[in-house]
Amino acid sequence: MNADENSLNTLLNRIERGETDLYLQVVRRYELMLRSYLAGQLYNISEADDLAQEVFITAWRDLSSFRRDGDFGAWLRGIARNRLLTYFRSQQRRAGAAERFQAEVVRITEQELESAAHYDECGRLERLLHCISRLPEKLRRVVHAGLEGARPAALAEDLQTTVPAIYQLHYRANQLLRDCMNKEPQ
Amino acid sequence: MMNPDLQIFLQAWTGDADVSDVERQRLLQRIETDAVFRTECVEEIRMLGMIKAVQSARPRWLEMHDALGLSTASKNDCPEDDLASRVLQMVEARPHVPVKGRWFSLRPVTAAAAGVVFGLLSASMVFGFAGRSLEKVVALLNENFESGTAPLVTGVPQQLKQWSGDFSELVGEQQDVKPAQGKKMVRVLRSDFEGKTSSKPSIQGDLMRIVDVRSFLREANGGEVLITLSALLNAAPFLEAERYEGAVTLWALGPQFPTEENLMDDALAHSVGLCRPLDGDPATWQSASTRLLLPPGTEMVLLKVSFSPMPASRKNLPPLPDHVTFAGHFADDVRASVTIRKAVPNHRNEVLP
Repeated sequence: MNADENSLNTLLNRIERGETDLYLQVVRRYELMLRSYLAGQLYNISEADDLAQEVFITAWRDLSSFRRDGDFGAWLRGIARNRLLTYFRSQQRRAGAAERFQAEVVRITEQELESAAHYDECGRLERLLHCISRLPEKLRRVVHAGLEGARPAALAEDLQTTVPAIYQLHYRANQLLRDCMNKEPQ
Repeated sequence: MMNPDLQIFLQAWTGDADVSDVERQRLLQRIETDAVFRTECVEEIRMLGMIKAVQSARPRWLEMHDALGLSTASKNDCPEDDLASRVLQMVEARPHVPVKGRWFSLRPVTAAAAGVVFGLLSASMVFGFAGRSLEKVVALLNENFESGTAPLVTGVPQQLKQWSGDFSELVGEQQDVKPAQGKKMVRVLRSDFEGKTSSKPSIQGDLMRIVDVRSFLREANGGEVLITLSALLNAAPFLEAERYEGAVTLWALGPQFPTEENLMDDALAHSVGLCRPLDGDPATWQSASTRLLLPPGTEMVLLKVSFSPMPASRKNLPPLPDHVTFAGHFADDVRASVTIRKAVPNHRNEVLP
């Protein structure tokens, strides 16, 4: 057991003994990982954030069931997967084809998503922000526009290019961001 | 080069384009059987998720605080070691690139907590240091609508420090919605305003305020000024077929007060924080927040809180109505703050990789 796990276990033990406010430290430590994990499976960030909140509440209530030699992040993602399944089921009635497609993709790629998320510690994700700021201007604009909900067609018009070119730019941006996240020293 | 099927996959995933059921089935089958393609898809959707998570404001998670039985002070706690501080510290070390463009040059920044930053500050203008010597946080607005002054209903404000916008009213508890703070809140009634002359229809009910930011930019002395806006939003139950979203928007403006017609063209930059969809549960206030790094030339900033219906489908949109009437949409606890980061010498302009 390393020092990090040791300090986490100390924290969890104190929370279980009634120092509830310490749970915010746990939330701060894992929130970006969890929000990223959920946002990768739900198109809408606000829905991902709502589910992340539910996961943290569930985890707090079930803290005693977490084995202290386990991986807390993986445990949270396990709760998140169950919540996601419930969420997709609850949405089934009003879901359109796009949402059903999303749910099916998540089901098929569940293992890959979990394996990849295993390395998403908070520092690495924060590095992404720095990496975005270092993207060439045009790619940064494409990344930001996507975040703002701009449609590729509108963005293509703004940038005087084609829709496939916008996807290509975003793809290139994502490649650069992955490289940057892997190379960038903490 | 991007795999052509990956583009179709992303179009289907994001709903950006019409992808047929047959095509979706073919993609699903390929994802299931082609491990390389599956990995590509996973990498892309993961990156999209990470980008959204790190660049959007940290949620306030009031429900979690309530479940844990934590106090209001804890809800607004902003300890030095939290994500906001660490990210801001990192951004301090980032090269400063002036923004030159128009509205599309927007720079919504950081994963830092919108609501969290304000809690330690009072409603008046208070200065405090956020734990780092080069950074100063100034509370700009903490509006609970308790003063009893109703917003004007004459569109975009033409004066500083005055709420104005579409038809709205100050109300107390109603339709099972209790004010998030105090005894009053604003109810947005319609998506148009008194004396509206523009022929441009709008489905968005707005509440706006303009603030002067020149003194902050002077103080930054060529450094960065970051403005943050958050609001709590609520909606009384609505029909199952209806969906609504709330939003907060920041517009960086030059020296002229804008009009409804020229806002989009004349603004130097803008940033939006969405709350989508509103849950229609009177018991829960949902938060929306956003941040904007002010571009050079900014003199004023327009703060906007808005509601709008969401179309049932992203395609085949019906023609816009003249205006929308909102049955029970409320805003409260609107907060804004400014973070001033003075210029740090010897920055290099870097690009990847």
